[in-house]
This record gives sequence, structure tokens and C-alpha cells, in this order.
Amino acid sequence: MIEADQIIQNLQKQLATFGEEPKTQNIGKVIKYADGVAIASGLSKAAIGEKVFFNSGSTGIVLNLDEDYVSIILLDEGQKIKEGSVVKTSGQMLGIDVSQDLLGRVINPLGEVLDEKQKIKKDKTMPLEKIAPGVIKREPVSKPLKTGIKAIDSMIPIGRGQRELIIGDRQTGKTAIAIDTIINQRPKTKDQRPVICIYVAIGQKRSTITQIIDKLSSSGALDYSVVVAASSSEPAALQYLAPYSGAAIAEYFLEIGKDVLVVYDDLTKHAWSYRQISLVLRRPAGREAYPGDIFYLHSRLLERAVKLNKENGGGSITALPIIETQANDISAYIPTNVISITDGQIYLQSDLFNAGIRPAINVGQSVSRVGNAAQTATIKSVSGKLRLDLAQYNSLAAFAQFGSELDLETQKQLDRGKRLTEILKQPQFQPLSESLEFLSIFAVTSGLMDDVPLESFQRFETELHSYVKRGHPKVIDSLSSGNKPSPELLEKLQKIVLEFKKGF
Amino acid sequence: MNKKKILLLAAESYKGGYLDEKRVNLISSFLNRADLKKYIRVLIRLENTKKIEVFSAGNINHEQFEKLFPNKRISVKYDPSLLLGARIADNDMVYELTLKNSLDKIISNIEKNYD
Repeated sequence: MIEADQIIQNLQKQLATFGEEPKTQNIGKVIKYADGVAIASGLSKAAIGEKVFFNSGSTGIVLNLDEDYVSIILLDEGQKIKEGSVVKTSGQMLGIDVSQDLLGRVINPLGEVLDEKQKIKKDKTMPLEKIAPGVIKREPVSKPLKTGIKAIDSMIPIGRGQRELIIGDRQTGKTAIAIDTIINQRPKTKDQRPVICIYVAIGQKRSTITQIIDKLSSSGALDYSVVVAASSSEPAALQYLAPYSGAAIAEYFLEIGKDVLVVYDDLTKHAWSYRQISLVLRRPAGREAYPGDIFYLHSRLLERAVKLNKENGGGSITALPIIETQANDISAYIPTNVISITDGQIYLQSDLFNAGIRPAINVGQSVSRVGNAAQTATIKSVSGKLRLDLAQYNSLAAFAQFGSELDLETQKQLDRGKRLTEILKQPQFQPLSESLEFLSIFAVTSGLMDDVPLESFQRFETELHSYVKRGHPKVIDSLSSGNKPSPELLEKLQKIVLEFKKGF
Repeated sequence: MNKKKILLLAAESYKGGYLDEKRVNLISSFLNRADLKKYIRVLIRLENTKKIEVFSAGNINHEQFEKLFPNKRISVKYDPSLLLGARIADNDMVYELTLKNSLDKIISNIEKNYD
């Protein structure tokens, strides 16, 4: 609470400055206004990306500078703008007011609150556009960011500071993976610091955004999260700005040494909104009518994902961009662009989803280019065998379709593959801890579940987890250490699983 | 007609620093609708660069402003809402040194920083 004396002192300071400096403003007049873009004359001192104010109360950003006029995109509906309206420069680049109070809140890309809670107190204004930290400030990805999804943590591990693309057709579970990852960042112990999560919804239905907020809230994940929402009913300019707002908020937390996760859901719609803006600005259209700088649009955003070295605070920003494909075509323009920018991709396929394999990850086409370095020794000890067994299964499964007689060894491998596929299935919004992930994969790769019927796999796994958690908490603790499990521990685990099997 | 030619015609529309009606009428009679539009736009822009508008709540020393802006036409307008001081509009630049502006700044500061 600021005391009355201080308030008066501040006012006196303000008064003292009267007469010192004249207010200088650069003004212009609207010549034309259509499709959310205003063309204004004057504004000779305006800069690209500068915030401008219309006398009708609307706000815009300068996106094009021409010899005689500037093009401004509106950040609201701008219904009162007409020919001749006065527009003023602000001298400010577009920024967002940020503070710790943002946690647990839902805001729009300009930082205005969308939930009906109290006003957010400003700590700092972060610029929406910022050059990503250079190579000197960075260090290689070395710490894992656990998603709580067995298939990802074991075979496509994500490290803090990595950019991992989630790609797939509509209704294949892309958002579910991102939400699971956010839920999994909830601190397991009191001392543990959560990873700050920022969920950026771009061009989604309002009902979908509400569902996501509800899910985050009910699972206790909203306390350490910020939701930046620009629904499909918002102007294209807001949808275009949304991911940059998310990145600016992430950078605020990064500056105070935190680990941050940003989900951009999704960049396909972001590209659409930018295409719309570019077309109304009459910028030359290229492939699929996207403007020439569409690659730079995403590369400059994703380049802001970073793992800083200790001298620079040691924080990190992990980015999980989402791309929606059409008919599983990952060779389209935007998907290939974003695939080439990111450090790997999780490819979800609709036929796998429809076959009941959920999460519907295509293991063959999914990859994590830097995450392996961040994987803990615990999970690494089982993931190698898992990958190999699955790869063998996939190649054999193709031959097995011909129906020819198979030898015993091949049949065994096929059976193991089926079991591995089954164990990697996981219900939505139920992320697992690393120890439980290890337990499940170990039980299959070591052949301990070879005699468990496939139909009972899910039940077996759930019951095994609660059995071990209840009866052998020390084993869980040892597996949580991140170290490679000792032969004694593995032997003990084997015994525990066999013991459980007797009662199953 | 290209832009350079329009600019040239607009420059030729002036005589002794003032817009000449005869020249303007002559030039405009040769232009088609699209070019006339461009010509008008350029003339407006040129006119804006040649004049200064001064808004003030009190009396203004006209000569002082003529010295400050020697090659420009100065028009003074009375605006009591400024309370004290003056606002000078030079083409697309506006310089304001008024009490109203100072009070506005205080109000916006209070609104921003205090609930």
C-alpha cells in the first residue's frame, strides 16, 4: 500500500516537470480503412511495429511504411474509425505488462484480463518482438522436461530449452499431449519448483479454450500457468500477436531464472492470420498465398526458446508448437517450415488414433534431435531396448500381413511388439512419474508381461503401479533418483512384478 | 501519369510561395480522374508543409512565431480548453506545452499506478 505522502510527492514531481519539455506528437489522418487495416497519411516519424492511437479510442500497430502513407493494423474492431480520423504515434513499440500476478490468469495478447478477476499489477513491460539470446548466453539442453507420457519420455525425450513440434491431423490428440505436459509440471514435493507454463490459444473456438482452462483449473495446473487467448472471433491482428505475447511473458520469467514451457496452439492458424493481414496489406503473395516472410514469422518466434547458461540466470524456455496437417500431409508448406525450425517432432496419425492407439504417436516419424542428452539414466536404460524392439516389430508386422507361416522367433518378436504398443497406450490427462514409466516399460521389455493377456494390459499396469506405490515406496524413490538402476534393484523389481502377477 | 510528373505539376502550381488558382485550374483541366486525385493529395501534402497552426488559450505574439518559422504561413486559433500555454501543429508534428497536457499526464499517471 502506497502512503498518502508518497502519492503527493509523486504528483509534485509530475507538476515540477511542467514547462520543461513540450509534448511532441507525430500525427496522421486516415485516408482509407478496410478489413481491419487503416491507411494513414502523415506519421512521418512512425516506426515499424510502433503502437498508434486513433482519436476514436482504437489502437493499432504500424506494419508498412510507404513513401506517402503508413499501413496500420487495428487491434480492435475499430468501428468508429472513418476517413479523416486523426491517428497519433505513441513512441512505444508493442509490449505487454507482466508480473508474477499473471500466474493463474487468462489474458488476451495485449495483457488485458479475460477472466473476471482483479486487475493485474504491472511489474515490467516486456516487448512483444525481441531478438533471441545469442550463442554466448546459451548452453546445450541438458535437463529433461517430463511430459508424463511413456511413449514421449522414453523414445522422443524433450529437454528444457528445446523446441519440439507436435504435428498431426485434427482430432488426433495434439492439444491433449500439450495439456498433459502442463499438468505433469505440477510439483511432486513441496521443495520442487514448478515449470511455469504458458498456453497460447490461437484462432481456436471459445468453447475449446474454456474447456482447456477448466481442465487446467481442475487439475491444479492453472496455479503455475498463464493462458493467452486469441480466439477465432478476435481480429487477425490479435491472433498474429498472440504467440509473441506468450514468448514475452515467458521471457519475463526466464529473466528471473525460471524454467518456462510455452505451448503455441496452433501455428497453422497463426500462419493463416498472418496471411490474411499480408493480403489486406497488399504484400506480394507467394506459395499457398503466404507472404515471403512466413518462414521468418515462425523462426524468430521459436528461436526465442532457449536454455541460458548459469551466468545468465540458468533459466529456460521450452517451446511446444502445434501444427495441424491436412490428410496427414507433413510435406505441406507450413509443416515443413516448422519441422525444419524445431529440434524434432511428435507426429500423430489419425489411423493410429482410430485403431485405438492413444496417444497416436507414429514412432518411426517422430524424433527428438537434442532431447536424448537430457534423458535421465533411469529411463535411458529401458528406452534403447524399447526403440529396437518396436522398430523390429514394425518391420516384421509389414511382412506378417502376407499371411505366410512365421518361425517361432519372429512370432515372439511380433508378440513383444504388440505388447510394447499396448503398454505405450495411456489415458488422457493421466501423466505418469518417471519411476512408474520405467516400471511399465521394464515389465514388458524384460518379458515379465509376456503371459499377460493383451486385453488385461491396462488393468495390469494400473494395479501394478498402485501395488508398488503402496507396498514398495522405497523402490519408487530409488527409481526417481534419475540414476541408472543397479542390477540388484532390477532383480528386486523383477521379484515384485512376479509377486504381483501371482495375485493378479 | 507517374508520381514524379504529378509532383512536378504540384510544384509548378505555386507562385511566390502561394498556390496560384489559375495554374491549378489549368493543370487540373488536363488531368483524368485518377491523376486528379493524386494531384489533390500532393497539393494537400505541400500545403501542410507550408503552414503552421498555433492553438492558444491566451494572446499570442504573432511576430515571435513568424521569426521562429520564417517561410511558413501562421494561423492562430483560440482554444480555451488548453488552459495555459500553446499547441503548435507543423504538418504532421504537434508540439504541446499546455497546462491541459500536464494535467492529463497527471491523471493518466494516477489511473495507471493507483487502484
